[in-house]
Amino acid sequence: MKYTPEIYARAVREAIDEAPVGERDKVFKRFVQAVARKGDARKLPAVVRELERSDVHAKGGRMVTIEFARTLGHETSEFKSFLKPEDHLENRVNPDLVAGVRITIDEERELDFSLARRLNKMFR
Amino acid sequence: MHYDLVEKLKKEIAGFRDEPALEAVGTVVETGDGIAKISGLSRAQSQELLKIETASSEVFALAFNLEEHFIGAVILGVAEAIKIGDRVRGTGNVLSIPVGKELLGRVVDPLGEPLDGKGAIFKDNGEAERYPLEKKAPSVVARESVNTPLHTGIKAIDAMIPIGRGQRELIIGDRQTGKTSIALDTILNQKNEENRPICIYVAIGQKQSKVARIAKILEEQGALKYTIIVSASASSPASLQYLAPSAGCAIGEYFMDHGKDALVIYDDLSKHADAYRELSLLLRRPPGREAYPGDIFYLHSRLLERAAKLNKENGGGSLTALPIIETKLGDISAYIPTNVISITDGQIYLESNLFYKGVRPALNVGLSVSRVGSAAQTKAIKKVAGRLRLELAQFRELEAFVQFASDLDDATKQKIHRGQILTEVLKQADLVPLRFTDEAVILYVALAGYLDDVPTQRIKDFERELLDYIEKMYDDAIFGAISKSRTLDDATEATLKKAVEEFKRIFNNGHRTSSWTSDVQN
Repeated sequence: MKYTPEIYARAVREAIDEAPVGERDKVFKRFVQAVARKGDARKLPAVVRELERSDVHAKGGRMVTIEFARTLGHETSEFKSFLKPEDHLENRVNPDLVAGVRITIDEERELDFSLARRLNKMFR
Repeated sequence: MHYDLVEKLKKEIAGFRDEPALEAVGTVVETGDGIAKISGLSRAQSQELLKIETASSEVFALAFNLEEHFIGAVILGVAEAIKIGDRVRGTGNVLSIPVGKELLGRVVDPLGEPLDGKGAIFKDNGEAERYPLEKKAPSVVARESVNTPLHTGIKAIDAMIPIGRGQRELIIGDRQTGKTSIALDTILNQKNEENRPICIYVAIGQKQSKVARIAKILEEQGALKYTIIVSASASSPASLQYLAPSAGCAIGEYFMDHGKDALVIYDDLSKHADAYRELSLLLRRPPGREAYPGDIFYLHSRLLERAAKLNKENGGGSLTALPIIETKLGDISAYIPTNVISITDGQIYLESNLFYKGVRPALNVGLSVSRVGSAAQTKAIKKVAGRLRLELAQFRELEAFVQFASDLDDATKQKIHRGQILTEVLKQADLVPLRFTDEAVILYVALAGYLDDVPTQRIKDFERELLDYIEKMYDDAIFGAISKSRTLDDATEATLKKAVEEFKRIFNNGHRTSSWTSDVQN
């Protein structure tokens, strides 16, 4: 049986919720060891991301990823004003976009203002 | 030249409109062996066509498994170009193929792309009508019983296992027993038909050299102009081999819906089942018997159920299916053969033993059957071949005694002799299908006992020269009459008797009919 990051995330969340407050760090450590024993250590970043996502969703927020073609300065913080306080914002640099910005919500919906998309649409 | 290109580009740029909108997207999280696992796109439909945006191009995939968190998709293009993290978009469409009469004479892949190097099929691909690969079979009320014959040009089949338009007749046998030859002869024979059906040959997992050979034969014999070849060769990914029969069927349905008759040959469904098994196992669907997935029966039944004879209200078109199944060591009780036998309206069973004995087509008359075709059999053949099956069955029972022939009574000896003659008459070389009028004459002559005193090794000469003689001397009175009325009435039968008796006298005297007729003409 292959365990997906979603299954791992759900299991560790329930285990942590059931454990006494002082024991929670130990529960998480044991979980990491168990995952490594199963040879799934490479799935840990995805598990953490899944935990983050379920936390944000539980609070009524969304996982928002904003990609820029190059590193920006304080302009990125302006995007926060468009979001709810519960939303989780992640900034990334993606040179493949050529120029512009791409916003992804919950890894399901996308608003693409990048030049790469326009060029593809024009010439493909 | 440069100026033209620059101007063209300028126009395109000026007319370019792009309004970014919120779009559903997914991400490739795993890929390999022609399969991609995609997260996101939670509203994708089953069998929806997905577009994977790779660094260099767009690759299409088919949503196959809709799971709680992921979509298992079958990649339809260059799988090597896809990387983890590539964006995936839904198209909102199920997989479809462009169809039209422009496909006639062409070799295409299951997505409708040309493989014959003859250039684009449709002038404007965007305007070509498209048919979905998966479509619901015509309903009960849209159908009528099979009532029109589909002549294969093979004496043994047209006489004993007649096929009707709209029927599903399985061709089954071991490797190298002549399964494809029967299918090919059937296509070639349609050249002689007045209401000629459109033929679609679907090659699944076949060698490209074999497909090229078939295309060449069809072209040389003038049959490619009414034939379409859909090819997913052995080097094609399993996904294309899986889609090939549905693509062929969709093309056939287009012609059926336009009131025409179509014939589709699936060569072969064993390899199709293997391709589906490969995809299913890669998608981690639970394996069942012989590791095939649980829905392998449904896969073939829904494909073959699309063969139909539509009633007049629905255009009266038909789609006949000739699926081919390859058995291993003659085992027709294996999983896929039994499935397809139970789905189809009969089977033509070919045997290696008969093939190596020189009985070609290597038809096992006992195990071959056509469940609905007799209703559609041409009256002329029905009349002359009525006793054929019975006489051959009697011969088979007595065949074991052939080696003790000297101890047998005269009646038994006569039956064995007649059986040997009929077996010889039913032998037929490939690529020379006969018109049904020729078949009716030959079978009449054999069953009426005119060949009883002809040495077995001279039967083929007798057959060939008789047909030649009748064509030269009695073409209208015999062939013309049978072709027109589709039956052998008393007057035609009397003329035929007269012609055969005349010919026998010449044949027994050792004259060649060609020299005789030229003497008469001079």
